[in-house]
Amino acid sequence: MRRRYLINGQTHDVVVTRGVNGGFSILRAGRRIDARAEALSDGRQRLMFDGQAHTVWIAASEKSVFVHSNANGAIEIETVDAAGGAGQARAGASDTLVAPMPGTVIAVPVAEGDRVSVGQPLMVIESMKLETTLAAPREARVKAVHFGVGATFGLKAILVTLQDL
Amino acid sequence: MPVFEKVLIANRGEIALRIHHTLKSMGLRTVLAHHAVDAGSPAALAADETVELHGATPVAAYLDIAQLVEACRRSGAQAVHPGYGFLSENAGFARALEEAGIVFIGPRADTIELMGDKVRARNFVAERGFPVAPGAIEDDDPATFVGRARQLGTPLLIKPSAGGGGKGMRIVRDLAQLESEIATARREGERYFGDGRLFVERYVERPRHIEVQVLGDESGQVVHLWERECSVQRRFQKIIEETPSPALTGKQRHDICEAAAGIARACGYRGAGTVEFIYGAGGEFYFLEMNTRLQVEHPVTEMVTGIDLVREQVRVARGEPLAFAQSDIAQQGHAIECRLYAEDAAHDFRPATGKILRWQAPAGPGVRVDSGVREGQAVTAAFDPMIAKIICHGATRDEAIARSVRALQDTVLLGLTTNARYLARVLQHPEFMEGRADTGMLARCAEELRGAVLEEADTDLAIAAAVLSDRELLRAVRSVPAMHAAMGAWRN
Repeated sequence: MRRRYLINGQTHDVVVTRGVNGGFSILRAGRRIDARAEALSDGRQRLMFDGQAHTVWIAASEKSVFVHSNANGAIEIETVDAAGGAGQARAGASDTLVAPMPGTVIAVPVAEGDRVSVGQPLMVIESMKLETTLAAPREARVKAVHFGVGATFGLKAILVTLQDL
Repeated sequence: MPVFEKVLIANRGEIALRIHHTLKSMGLRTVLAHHAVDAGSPAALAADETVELHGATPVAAYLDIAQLVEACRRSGAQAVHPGYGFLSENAGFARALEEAGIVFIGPRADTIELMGDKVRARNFVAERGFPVAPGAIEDDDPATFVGRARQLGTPLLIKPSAGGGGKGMRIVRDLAQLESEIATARREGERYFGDGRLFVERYVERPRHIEVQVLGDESGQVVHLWERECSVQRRFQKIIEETPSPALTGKQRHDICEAAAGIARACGYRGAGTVEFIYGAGGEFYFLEMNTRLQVEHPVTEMVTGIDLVREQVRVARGEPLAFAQSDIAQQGHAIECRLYAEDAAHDFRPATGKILRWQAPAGPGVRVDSGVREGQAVTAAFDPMIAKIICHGATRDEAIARSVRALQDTVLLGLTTNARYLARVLQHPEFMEGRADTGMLARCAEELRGAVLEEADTDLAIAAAVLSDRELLRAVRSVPAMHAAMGAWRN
């Protein structure tokens, strides 16, 4: 089985197969890692691979797995669709202004149809009392403004769509 | 002497829970007023009673004075503790409670008003001979404001008269930008405080933020509980606080603490308050503002003095005299507070939201954790992103740092991004370790404070964790016969 993971913005492709002794083999970057997990009574997991044991906390949401080790702290591993998924959204970023955080729209200094230049403010948003101005990534025309003043939106919501001049 | 047995807590999160603990230890009953989104919070679960507040937004509910007065009437609460933030520095709230015959656990309404107006407070302090930075106040003569500001020379700091928390503050280093920066600060002041009036002050280079805890009683007795240094800030907001300040000599500590107590005495301060100062590299210090409430960082003072500040607030509100004189208050050892925030330090501290999947607070000798979250709770964009405060005490500053680093490493919070490791890196940075941090440290040292890139072995560990918790994947892989599985492991 193939999986594509995203860690700190880096994509990692792996192939997972059944291993020996009830474990699993993970092929990544040309190497094979034999891994096995054991649950501890306090809720932690003991991960064993490459002859080493690591005691970690693991928690999973629908899209991500979080792992805490005392050496590294918490790491988020996002599972992305190997066909594109998160990677694709990134590629199209110059056509859409995506919400970097959930929040509320405070001001929209542009209107649909406006011609905007690089760095021109498109939307002012507020999240947790922090105000952020989102600027145009390139010279373009505003195709659509998806949220008006006062509207709230979630993380990665498309706020503004741009089109070529 | 006002007597009360039941106290309503008009706040949420860690501070609501922390206040609840002290009230219970004093034999009082607690009522927590909360919005529906906080119904399952640890504070709501701990309180003896709860009253639900309604509002267009959760924040609006916590700011609704009429509803809170009504909540006191309905629950029979005879006093209110406002915590920090929300209505804690709202004179109208203090007055509304007074009119309803309910004790406000805080200073008198007129003191809140005086200190809430930054310009009036500054004039009050200056007139009584305490140090303020050279400045120009718009209200003195609005027509000449820009000219007077210009005359002070750069660097300048523009501040909203009604401000606080760094909102709307602008540093001007080039006078050509003065007018546009004034316009921006005015807009922000209007938006955040409904008041666009401004004042400017000489900006102190490499400023350090040092504040002094004061405590006054009804009869006018005032003591200080020493200083706290809160210079480690991002976007004008404190993230690490400590006491004693490593910046001060014995004489400076005495002078700054006495100045704070003097200011509190001059305004007849009642209850717990904090006088904030800006401290410059040359040892000069200027009055910044007075916060007429309990501070977020009050636990470091509690750790070194052994005094429970909430307990003293309640005692003063009951009309009791202070239980100690200045000479009884000693600083023992060193304490550091780190604010655990739901934010991504690697991306300009942008707020993070999500569900808390796993929360394991650190513990150990000298470690105190004030938090108000539990597993399964969602951290939303509705409130401030602070999740918990990790406070560590040590016999020396070095020991307090070591214990704090360890505590941050032991802090398990999974489900959303936090600044735990960033805080540990700040504590271990030479500027902080040597006691040289000023309010510009985090911006100046941004590169050095960046987390290391994950090593291959750590990436392996992360991926192994992801694979081993992916039930669907494991089931699919297990269903493949062993021989085919082995074949799959070969390279083409």
